[in-house]
Amino acid sequence: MSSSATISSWSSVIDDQSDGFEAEDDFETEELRLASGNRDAILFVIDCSLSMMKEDENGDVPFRSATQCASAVMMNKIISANDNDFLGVMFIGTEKSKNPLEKDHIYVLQNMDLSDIHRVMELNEIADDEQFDFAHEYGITEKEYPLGDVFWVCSELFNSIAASTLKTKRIFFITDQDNPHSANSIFRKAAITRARDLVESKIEINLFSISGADSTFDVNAFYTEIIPTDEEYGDSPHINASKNFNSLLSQILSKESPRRSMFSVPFRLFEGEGMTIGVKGYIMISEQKKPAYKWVHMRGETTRLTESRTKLICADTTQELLPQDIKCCFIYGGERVVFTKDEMQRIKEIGDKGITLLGFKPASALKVHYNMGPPYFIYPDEEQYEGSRRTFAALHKKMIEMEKVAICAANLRAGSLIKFVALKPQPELLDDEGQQIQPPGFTMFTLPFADDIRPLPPHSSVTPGIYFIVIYVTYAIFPPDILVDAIKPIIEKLQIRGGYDPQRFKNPSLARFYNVLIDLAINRDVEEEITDSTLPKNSLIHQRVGEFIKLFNIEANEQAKSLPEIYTPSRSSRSSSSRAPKSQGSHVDMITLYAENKVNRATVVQLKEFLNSVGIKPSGKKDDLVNQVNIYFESK
Amino acid sequence: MADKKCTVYIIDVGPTMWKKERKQGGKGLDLTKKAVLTMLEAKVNIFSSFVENNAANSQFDINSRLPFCGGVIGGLKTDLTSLIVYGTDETNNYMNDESGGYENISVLYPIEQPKLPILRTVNEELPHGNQESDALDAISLAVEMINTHCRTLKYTKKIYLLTDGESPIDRSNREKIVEQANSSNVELNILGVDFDDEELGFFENNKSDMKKRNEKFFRKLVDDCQQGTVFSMEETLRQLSKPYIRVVRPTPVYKGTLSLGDFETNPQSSLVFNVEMYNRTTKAKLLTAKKYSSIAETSTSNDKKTFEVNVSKSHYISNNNEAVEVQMDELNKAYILGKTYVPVDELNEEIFNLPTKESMQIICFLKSDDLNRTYFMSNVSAILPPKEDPIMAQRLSAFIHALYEKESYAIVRYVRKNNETPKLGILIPYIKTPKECLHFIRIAFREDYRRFTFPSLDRVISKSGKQIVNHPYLPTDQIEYKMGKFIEGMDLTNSLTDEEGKPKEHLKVKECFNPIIHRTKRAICHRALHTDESIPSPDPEMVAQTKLIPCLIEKNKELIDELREILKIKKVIKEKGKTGKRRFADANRPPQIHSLDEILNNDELDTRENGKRARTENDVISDTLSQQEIVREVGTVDPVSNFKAMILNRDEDLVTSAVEQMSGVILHYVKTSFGEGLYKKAIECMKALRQACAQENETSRFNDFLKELKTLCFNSQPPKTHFWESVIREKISLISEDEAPDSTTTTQEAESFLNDTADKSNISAMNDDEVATDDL
Repeated sequence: MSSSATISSWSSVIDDQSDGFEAEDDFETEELRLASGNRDAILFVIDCSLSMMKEDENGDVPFRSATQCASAVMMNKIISANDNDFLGVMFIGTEKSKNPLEKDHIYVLQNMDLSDIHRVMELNEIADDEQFDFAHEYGITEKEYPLGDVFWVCSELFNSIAASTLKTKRIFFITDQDNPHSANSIFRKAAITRARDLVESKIEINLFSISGADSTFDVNAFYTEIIPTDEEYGDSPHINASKNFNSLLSQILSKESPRRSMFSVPFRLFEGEGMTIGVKGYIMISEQKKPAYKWVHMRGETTRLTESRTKLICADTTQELLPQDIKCCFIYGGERVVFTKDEMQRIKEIGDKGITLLGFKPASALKVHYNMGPPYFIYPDEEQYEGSRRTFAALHKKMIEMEKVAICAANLRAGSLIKFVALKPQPELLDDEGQQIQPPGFTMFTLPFADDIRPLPPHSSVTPGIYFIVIYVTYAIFPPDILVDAIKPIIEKLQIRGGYDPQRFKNPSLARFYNVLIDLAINRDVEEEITDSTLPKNSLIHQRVGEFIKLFNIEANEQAKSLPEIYTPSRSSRSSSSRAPKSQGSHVDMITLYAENKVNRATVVQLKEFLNSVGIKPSGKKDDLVNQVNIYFESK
Repeated sequence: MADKKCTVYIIDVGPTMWKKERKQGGKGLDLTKKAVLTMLEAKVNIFSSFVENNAANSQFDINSRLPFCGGVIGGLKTDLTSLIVYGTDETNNYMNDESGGYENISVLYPIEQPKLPILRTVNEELPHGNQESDALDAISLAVEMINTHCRTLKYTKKIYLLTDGESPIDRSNREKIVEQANSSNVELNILGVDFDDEELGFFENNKSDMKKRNEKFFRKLVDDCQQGTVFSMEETLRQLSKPYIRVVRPTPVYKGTLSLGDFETNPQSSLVFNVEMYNRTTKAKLLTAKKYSSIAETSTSNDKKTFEVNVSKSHYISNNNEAVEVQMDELNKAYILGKTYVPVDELNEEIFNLPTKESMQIICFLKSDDLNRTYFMSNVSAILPPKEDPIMAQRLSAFIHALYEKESYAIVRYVRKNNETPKLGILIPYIKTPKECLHFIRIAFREDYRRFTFPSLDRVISKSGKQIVNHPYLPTDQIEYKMGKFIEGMDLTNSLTDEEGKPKEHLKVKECFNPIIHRTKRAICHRALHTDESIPSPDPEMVAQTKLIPCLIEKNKELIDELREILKIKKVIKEKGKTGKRRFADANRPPQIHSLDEILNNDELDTRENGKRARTENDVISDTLSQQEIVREVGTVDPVSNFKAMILNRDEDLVTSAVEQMSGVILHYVKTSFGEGLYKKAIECMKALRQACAQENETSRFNDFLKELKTLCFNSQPPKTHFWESVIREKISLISEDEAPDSTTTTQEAESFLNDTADKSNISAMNDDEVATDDL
């Protein structure tokens, strides 16, 4: 949406100018800015041969799946506000034809244009509607038609885009034919020539290959000729999407957004020349919110988006103010303290743009509760410094081996605020078929400053405090083992395997918002119900662990009876716990416990703490830990 | 309820305090001044705007909730101070007025909320007294004042006495003072100039007998008091130099249940914990400043000035290629779906929102190893049991321990308030005896996560599909080996040692302060007292934290030399072509900005194409917006943006055209301006024009334009000399050769051109004419 981007960016420009100090690292706006400045164009080319129309063993029709993918990508563009990007859809192998060059068997369903909900609906109809008879509407040819023509039409379609800010041009080619012109060397040659022309004009071909039931797609039969491996990046543009619809969709979606870096900065490994490499930063996690509404004017023949303009008026003289007339002011001790915007900017300028390595710490030093927001992904950039990649690779590999994180100071953009970050190496992970599921690089976590950390509020009622005072024996401060053990089966029985996959959880409020919006847009009755995958499956929970929870509740009530009657207020608990340092307490107690042969009465936490404190690495279950402690004392 | 505080500072201003030079530099009073200033600065309010504040009423206000929100960083309204000096030539305190016996003591500020004047007094106007006065009298007076002010209300009461202990003290009052202080719960702190400090190893040898006796006496006195300490001035200043973090009163972000299973239908077989959630990490905000009009500064009106800036927002649409302002009541809200506008029925806006109930529900559990931290997307909160509920505490504690022992996390669906959007979060057990809690961090939904693929770092595949072993992208074994050594050598956990020689971890999170927050505070305090001085430099210790520590540099020098040899990193020099002409574009590439006319032009075309669809649908009107959005014209609505967009066009060279059009727009403004209405805008345009011309090798065009403009200013009827004055004020001179290599104008020429008076300009214009005639 060109003009919407204009408005938001325009007003933000004005805001930036008038208020010199809220310019924190606002990468969300940065992203929008990049998106509107570097537009992407994708042309779906979907093979409509008879074999693509056959159901596979899962009941999926490859052609329909492919069309669904195109629809999903377009919907994604709409939702993610990348609506400056161009999309087109083209069927090949049809009986009918419609294309600017009037070539046979090529049907351009949707020209290269901005995404729109009506286009999505059209695709959905073709992909999902059981009644839809493709053979009848568009026809399917069994004739051999020159693939070269297809590429020619592609090139023509891309050339029709007049936008100047187009950054990437890509063809998503979905087919199951691995050797289209096996017997026709003239067609074959022509196709290769045309495809190379595309590459020349910076149009990238991404091949999504589909294997039939009885044949596997052999990329070497023909396509290696026309899809060059990107030598710079080593990325293969051939994606084997043969498994099923989901794999095709996830492969396509992973390619959907072209990689756009948020920043490109020097990474200083050490002082002086020759120890600085280049890195780029990417955002892989960023919160998707409902879009803001716009103001439109509807009192004419057409609806028009408004542009807004902010004026700054001097309250005393009622004169309109220009950015340079604005200063910054604080009220300090009841009086105005004034700075110029330059001065405010200078106050914030600490450190040079880039990432400065300060040293390494063990991976465990990056505690989970030191988190401020989503991380950035860091990858080397040879364009700034030659040798960045090998240096980065060596650092990456050794840090994984040695289980280290790098602590750095970072100014990610000129004028942005300095912060401390931790770089954690992320190893590359591939699935069974060799497709990458986790890219190699560093994840960069912003560390909190001391100023950002809030102490835990006094919470005397978490058991330790109270018991400590009342009973004065360390092991009693923990919850009774019997209660802890009662929870364990509940955790075990509701454990998901394979870790957390964000694909499993759609944001229900976004789903509701877009469902309603789409219904309104295409004048359909509004369906309010959505499937909310985040709701806990209560009946399943009840069935699996209901009995265990019952047991826990009974036990908890039982244990509650033996809670001390005297409730010690928080104040004294605080002062006395500060008098007796905790770590010593547990240590001394362990000796007593050992002497009384009651080490097993300590909790797992205590055992682990004790073992750690005497330099033994705790391992195994509670019994093992008890053993470790006993052995430690026996050996003394 | 925030803690109420009442603090009285007593400063000895007797002769030895301001006459005697001290070992650590400066006089006693100078050191004292510094200490009191620092303590006071933390107590003075910083706001982004004025709030109603009446110190006299503060007693009544403190029991109600704080009447202002946001913007406060310093102390609070409940943080009261007073300043007493003793040893003065005058006597000014009510105790002496009433009963006498408190001579040479002056109350400079009564107990009240500290404002700038008290800081100014301490900074500049502390009196130099010539009398010797009794410190105990001053303390007694202070305790009395505190009692009168605080009555039986709950306050944290403190007295700071700053002295060098050189004046005689009447010890007979000792018991009484201790009695008084203890019964009113007042903390008595003595900050002594040149007092001994065992911890710091600071001893002053040439003390007078009086000072020795007094120092001993003070220590005894403070020992007898229930609360209080004697500090040396050295120690005081050292303590005060540490950054000050405002304590935030913990307020729960969520108060409700954490549950597993449906406890409404199956209360017995569902797990319910009552919990409270507090922020554990949260971005400490920078102080935000208020906009301040510098025009009001120079305005001569005598009314009471506010210096405030009002923001007015107006909306425009196009009508026959002209921007027309439209009123808000003519506008509708709409969401945009691709190219389709969906107007929002304001009565039915709720339809877009998912109805939800306040809750935190466990969805499932997972092994801690199975969770990739990459998906974390928020700050961290801590979940605790409610206060004073030991039963809940025990239950929750059992849950925390079970998670911990099973090395598991819980995934939860969290709704903070009814009908707010649900969030996904992860619960992580945290146990550090005696503290324990669950940490809550939000994790990504499907929509939040974007999958990218990147080439492998350890494999390079050739075109033919073979794996290449030796490639410049791949590190050699030697590089890897040395890199390992480098990681060892740069370890932060053992490279520094503490006082006892044990290894000390460097850059602990809790020891790293945000240098910008503290610098901003410093700058405000400094500017308040020293209006003319420039902003102070950042805290050197904090800056040092952002740099490599010297011992690591020293330690790894040789290793680095070896690494340099084998890594062979080379800076890539960008081709000339890229950096030359488009320097401006690279330097500040703003968002694509289009003129309204531009969009409207295309709009018309597109509407025609899509008109059919637009008319057939009742509620929904589809408009196709332009794909063609290259800005080719500098309009008069927002010329600067148009101009920049043209300059920044990287596909087409529109620079010359932009410069010509912009020049035209400026001349148009100046010619047509009614009064001075358009002058500001014209100046703004000139600045943009000048900057771009200097960078884009268009100097001669700009200089020619400026000459033309000057002629216009002085030769038009009536002359536009006012405009030229603002040009002078803004120093928009000819571009000189210092600024742009293609200029042929010297700096001097540029300057004199700007400042030459109207007459001369007329003459030069005439000269030009003459030359022209000659040519004919």
